[in-house]
Formats: sequence, structure tokens, C-alpha cells
Amino acid sequence: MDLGFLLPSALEIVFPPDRVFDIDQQTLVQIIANIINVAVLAAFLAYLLYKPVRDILNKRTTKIQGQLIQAEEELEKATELRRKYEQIMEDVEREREDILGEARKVAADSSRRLIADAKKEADTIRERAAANVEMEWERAENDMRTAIIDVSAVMAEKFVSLAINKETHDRLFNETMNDLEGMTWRD
Amino acid sequence: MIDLEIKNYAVLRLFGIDIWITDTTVSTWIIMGVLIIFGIIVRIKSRKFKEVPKGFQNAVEAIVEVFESYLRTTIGDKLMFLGSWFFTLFLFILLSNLSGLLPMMRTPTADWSMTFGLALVTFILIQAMGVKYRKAGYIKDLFAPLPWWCPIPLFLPINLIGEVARPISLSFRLFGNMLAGLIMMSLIYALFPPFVTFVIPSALHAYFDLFSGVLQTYIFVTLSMTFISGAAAVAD
Amino acid sequence: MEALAMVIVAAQYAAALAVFAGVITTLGQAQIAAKAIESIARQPEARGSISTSMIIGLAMAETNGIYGLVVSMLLLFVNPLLDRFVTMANALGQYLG
Repeated sequence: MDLGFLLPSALEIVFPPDRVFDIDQQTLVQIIANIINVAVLAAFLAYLLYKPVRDILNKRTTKIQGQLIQAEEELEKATELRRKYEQIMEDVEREREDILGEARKVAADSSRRLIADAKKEADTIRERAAANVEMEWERAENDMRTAIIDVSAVMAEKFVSLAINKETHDRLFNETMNDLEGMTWRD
Repeated sequence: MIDLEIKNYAVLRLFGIDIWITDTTVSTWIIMGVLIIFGIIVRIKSRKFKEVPKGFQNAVEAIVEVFESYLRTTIGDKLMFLGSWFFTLFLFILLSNLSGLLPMMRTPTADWSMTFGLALVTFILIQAMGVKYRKAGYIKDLFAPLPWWCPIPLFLPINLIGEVARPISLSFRLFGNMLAGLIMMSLIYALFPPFVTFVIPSALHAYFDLFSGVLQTYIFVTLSMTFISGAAAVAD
Repeated sequence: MEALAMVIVAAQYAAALAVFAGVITTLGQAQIAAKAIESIARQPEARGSISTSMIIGLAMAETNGIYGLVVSMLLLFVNPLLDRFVTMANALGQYLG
């Protein structure tokens, strides 16, 4: 029985055959060839397209970031400066306040002292005046006493020397009193 | 008329190994050329980039910046050195998926060898980052639920299958979606007479190439990132 | 020759059946999308993270359908059954004659 007729038409190799899908040695070769092709393409694209553009983008990103950081730093510096300025202003204000307070205290002190001094002086003056008045008064009393004694003596003399009636007596007394009064007023 | 099959144009013989120069290879080279020329333009213009972006510079910077922030939220800061690989992956898959719109190009991602190649790199990165950042802990996790009294690592095969399944499902997801779109489009073009295929396919192109393509790109890149950062993350 | 044709036909049918894994997958994905829409309706401010998680979840759920697709593609384009059949037939032919 001859089954060899099965072979030729089925296994004849047309060179190079067109095909859609097959798994054989040639497929393996083509897989490797395709990998090499795409790897070459990858190398080219990485060198020509991807890396330069990415570098440009990265550079720009870092630059913008740097600018942002710089701006932030400057802002911080400005804020610091402002803070310092405000601190100084505050210090000045406080110092002013201190000085004013001290001056006020000194002024108050001195005024108090002056007032106290004045009061003391006034007191002494008043005291002295009072003492003077007292002394004056005493002296006036003494004078009066002596004057009265004098008057009494004079009156007694008059009583004694003259015969005296009632009228004369009154006249005399009044006369004397008037004299005395005039004396006292004159002094 | 869209050809479903991957055509072979030439055979390159290097070190005794045949390398077929196929539709995929040619499309890949075209996309590489477009991207590299774009990169050269950016490189030349980037010397004159100004502080305030405008026009072309703005567009390029927007692409890179959006991608970078997306990367940062998905894989975190410590894996950012993989950024250029993911960037390339994203741009390449996106352009590949969209290249289906051009009549002369066959989508390179509708070839399993391409998608599996990309997924294989993801697989290698998963293992490498796992070992790099978690050292022995990563290896230990492969034996994961291993009680102290159990001498046989019962779950090792399951874990290994899980690891191996990742690049396979990742690659077949992209490949399947792209090939499905291609099959649909080729069927439409083959079934209907030419005057019908003048306007109607544009809606299908919009779905299969634009919508599906962009979505699958996003899914592929996001899943790669998630897997890698998941492997590199310190276990809680 | 007929036997070979039968193998190929069987492979085509199997491929068509394998794609049916996509039906269940679609149901699961619809569930995910519905839940995601509910979540967005409840918490519109978390829209971004919900849709990201939804897309990743959809991609994960799609794995099953993708495996169906893989099986169907293997059957259609790689066709290991055919190889096995051919080698078996070859061996049988050598053994017999």
C-alpha cells in the first residue's frame, strides 16, 4: 500500500512562502530581528527625541522652581526686614514711653517736693506770724495794763486833787478815756 | 485589495542563518525611518528651543510631558529609567497600528513575530526588574503558597505557567486584534466590487485601525508597565 | 487524499469552534463595562481611574477570547494535526510497503 502520495502537495516548500502565522525556526529568527530593529529605534529615539526634550523640560522645571524658591527667600528676607523694623519701632516707642514716664515721675517728685517745701515755709511763716501776733497781743496787754495803771494813777490823782462831784467825775473819766483811747489808737 | 499574508521579498543570509525580509520588516523600517527623521528634526530644532514654547516645540513638549506624567503615575519614580523604552514602544506600536490606513503598508503588529518580540522584551524586563528590586523575594514568590511542612513546591508549575502566559497573552492580544481588523478589511475588499469599496470601508477603517489600534496600543503599553512595576514592587 | 482532506476540514471546523470562546468573553466584558458605567454614575469624580481600571480589566478578560483566537490560528495556519497525520501516514506507508 502506497501512501507516499500524501506527501508532496502538503509539504512542498515554496521559497520564500507567504504566510500569516507560523511557529518555526524562521519565526524565532524574525522575532530576534524585530527585537533588534525596535531596540535600534529605541536607542535612536532616546538619543534624538526623548532625552533632549525631557532635559529641556526638566531644566525649565528646575529653573522655575529655583525662581520660585528665590522669590520665596526674598519674601522671607523682606518679611524679616519688616519684622526687624517693627521691632525697632516698638523699641523706640517703649524707650520714649520710658523716658516720658521717668520725666513725669521726676517732675511729679520735684513738684511734690516743692509743694512740701512751700507748705513747710508757709507753715513756718504762719507760725512765726502767729507767734508775732501773740507777742504783739501780750505786749499790747502789757501796755494796756500799764496804761490802765497809769490812768488809774492819774484818775486817783485827779480824785484826790479835786473836789469832785458826780458830773465832774464823769467828765473827767470820759476825758481820760478819750485821751487813753487816742493814745492807744495812736500807738 | 489588502493582502492577508505576509509577503517575502528577499532572503538575507547572515552567519549561515536565513533571515527573510518580509512585509513586516519593510514596514518596520519605514516606521523607523519616519520616527528617526522626526527625531532628527526635533534634535536640530531643540538647539533653538525657547523658554516659552510655541508651535512645533509646544507639540513635541506636550507629547513628552503627557507621556512622562502618565509613566510616572503608572510605574513610579524608581523605574523612570525605562521611560525611553516605553516611549519608543508607545510611538512605534501607535504608528504601526495606524499604518494600516495606508494602502501600501501591511501593519507590522499584525505579525506575531513582531508582537511576540515586543512582549518578550516586556517578559525579560519583568524578570530582570523583579530580581533586581526584590532579589530572593521574587524567586521565593514563584514557589508562593508553600507551607513549611510541604517538601514539594506544588504551585511552582502553576506560577511558571502564569509567568510564561503573560508575554503570550500580551502578544496575541495585540496580534489578534490587528489581524482581526486585517482579515475583516481583506474580506470586505475581496467580497464587494470596487465601486462599493470606495466609501464604506472608511468607517470600518476608522474602527479597526484608528479606534482599535489606539486602544490596543494603550493596553499593550499599560499592561507592560503594570506587569513590570508589579514585579518590581516590594511585596506588602 | 480523502483522509488528508478530512483532517483539513476537521481543523477548519475546530478553528471556527475555537473562536466561540469569544462569546463568553464578550459577555464578561459587557459585565465589566456595565459595572464601570455604574461606578462612574455613582462617583463621577473618579472617572479617570475607573476608566483606566476598566480598560485594564477588559484587556485581562479578553485573554480568554485571545486564547480561542490562538487555538484557531494554530489550527488554521500552523496545523500540527496535518504534520502528525503526514508523519503517521508516511510511517505506515513505509511499514506496509
